[in-house]
Amino acid sequence: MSTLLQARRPTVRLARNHVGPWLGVAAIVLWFLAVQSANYSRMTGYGLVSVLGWPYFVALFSVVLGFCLELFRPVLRPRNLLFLVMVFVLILYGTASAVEPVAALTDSWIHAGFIQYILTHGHPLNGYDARFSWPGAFSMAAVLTKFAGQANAIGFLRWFPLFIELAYLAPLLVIAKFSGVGQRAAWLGIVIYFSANWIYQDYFSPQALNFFFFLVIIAACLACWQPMKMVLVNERPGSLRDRLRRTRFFFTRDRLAGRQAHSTWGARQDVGLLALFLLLFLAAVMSHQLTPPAMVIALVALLATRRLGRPEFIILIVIFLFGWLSLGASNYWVGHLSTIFGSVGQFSNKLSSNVTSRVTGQPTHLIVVKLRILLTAVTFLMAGVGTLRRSTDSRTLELLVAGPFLLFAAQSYGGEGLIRVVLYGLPFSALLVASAIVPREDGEIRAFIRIPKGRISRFIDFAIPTLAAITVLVFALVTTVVRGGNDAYESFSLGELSAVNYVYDHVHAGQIIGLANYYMPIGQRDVGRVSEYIAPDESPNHVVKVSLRLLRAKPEFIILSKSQEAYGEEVVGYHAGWEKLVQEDLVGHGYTVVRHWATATVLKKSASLT
Amino acid sequence: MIADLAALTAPVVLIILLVVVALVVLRGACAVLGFVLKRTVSRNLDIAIAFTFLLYMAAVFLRFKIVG
Repeated sequence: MSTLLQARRPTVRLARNHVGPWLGVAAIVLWFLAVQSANYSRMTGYGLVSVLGWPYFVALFSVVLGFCLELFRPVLRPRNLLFLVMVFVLILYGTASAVEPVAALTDSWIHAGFIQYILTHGHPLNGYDARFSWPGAFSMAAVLTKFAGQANAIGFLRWFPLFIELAYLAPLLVIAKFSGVGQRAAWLGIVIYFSANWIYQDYFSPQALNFFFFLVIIAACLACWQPMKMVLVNERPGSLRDRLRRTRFFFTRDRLAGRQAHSTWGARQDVGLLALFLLLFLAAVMSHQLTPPAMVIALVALLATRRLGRPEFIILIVIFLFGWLSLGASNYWVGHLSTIFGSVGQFSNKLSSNVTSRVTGQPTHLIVVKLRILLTAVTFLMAGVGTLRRSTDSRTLELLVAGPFLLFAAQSYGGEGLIRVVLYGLPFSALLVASAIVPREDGEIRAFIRIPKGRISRFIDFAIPTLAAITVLVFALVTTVVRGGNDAYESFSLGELSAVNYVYDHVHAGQIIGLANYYMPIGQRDVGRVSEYIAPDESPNHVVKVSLRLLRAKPEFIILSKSQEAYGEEVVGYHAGWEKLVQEDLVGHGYTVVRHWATATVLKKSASLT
Repeated sequence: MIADLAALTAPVVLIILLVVVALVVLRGACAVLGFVLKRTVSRNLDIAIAFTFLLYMAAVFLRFKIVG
């Protein structure tokens, strides 16, 4: 018996050593199977998850299991962990790109149109769209498109979410390593970030690129500056007085001058960092409205928590921010300055446009929206537990999570402001969530909650790997549902793209293209040459008003499609088959169907209407 | 009159922006490269930065007021 055990022991050890990576490989194979077997045309109101079969969920389970087995080994193996994290990212962020026939989200197609305009004319089109007042990212994409020998940027759209999320991984690794959490919490935090990022802001857009800049800046600061030790005499560590005295030091002169953080890099690297930051700040202020203020808040948070030694950075970005707004983006604010500053404060209005107004629509859509709110709430709740459980040298992560909420008060960004607030804090709240599971136990700032050694702590230690696996798996499953939860109308079929291309091939300069709502892969061509009329949402009982509005606008072409119909049904609450009624009404009033695909119909204005 | 003022504000904002950036970069570069400035020079540099920064914000505000 013992001989048999001895013979089996190397095999068992070999299996235990390699089980993590092999589970990752198995997950890749299963993922390929999942995307091969997914039938996009069968998508229901639940979006992407409705076309995913069992291989997807087994793949997700495999990679999470493999990751957690690797994470709780006595000695961590970073290469294996990195491989498993990348597989995890592929499964969560590559599935939609692999299953859906063309790139999702109307905005990504519009951005391709802006880039096309810059490629053709060499400059942005003034006064056409507010986004053209921040043309930095579009200009860079135009240069890249030309450099890659492409006729347009459409080739970049489809796989961009996976590409940019993998790009985020590099700064996230640095942030996690230098954030002051333990090694295991760092890896777990990275995975929790990816498993909780339901916020679809990684599509082909300036904000996706600017979020990368944001992460790079925070990562560089955390890697460069370490907090100087704060010794408080006559105070018992961890006592209330000790905590209050430490908090009082947040805004002392020494701290604000950056003298309580010391650089761990040499002079050359510091000069390089200054140059890099100058470049990134300039790129950011020219590309996006909201990211530079988020950078300012994050840098102030780093300075206040002794993780930034050069306050000049904050002054520089503020100067650039107002400089661009004043000089470069004047087209945007001339004549309507109140759109920038008029909505400062106004919490109830913002909360309504960000949360309340979104909780509408069919039960399928409501489930998705409520799950998003629940996931966000659980993330913040667990981050709160992490704050209480962890010991640390500085409360940087907590301030980086709380800081973006100031943006919510100041922004005039419309209904997506709160989503961005959550996004800017997510990398750090994810690390706090990880700290709730595997907290660091040493540091000059003591944990609020310490579990005394004994039976309970032994049980917690035993249960931690299971708790980590369950947390990541549940977060990832919910994210799968809610991230692709709008795909019934935000993703597009080949027929819809063909309909748009047909219209662009036949429309003349100055003519209008009509749509029943916003959801079409449109805007990628003829920017400034033709315009679109989008009928506003009507009350569910007045669908006929959609056709009335379209008839009043008299567009040369009208496109009706599956995605528009799904949006009408799922979000606005129109009855099933409403688009057919609209089409019949349009045909009865002078429009004729000129082309038809399984998922889209093009109608043309007849000569009598002209 | 307002159009003239509006046209005038852009170069004013730009020039003050360049001055304040130059001063801030100088302060940062000196600290990073280890050039220890005399106490009075350092203080004067800080005052100059604070003054030009306030001037810059005032210029930006005026431009918003005049043009916006």
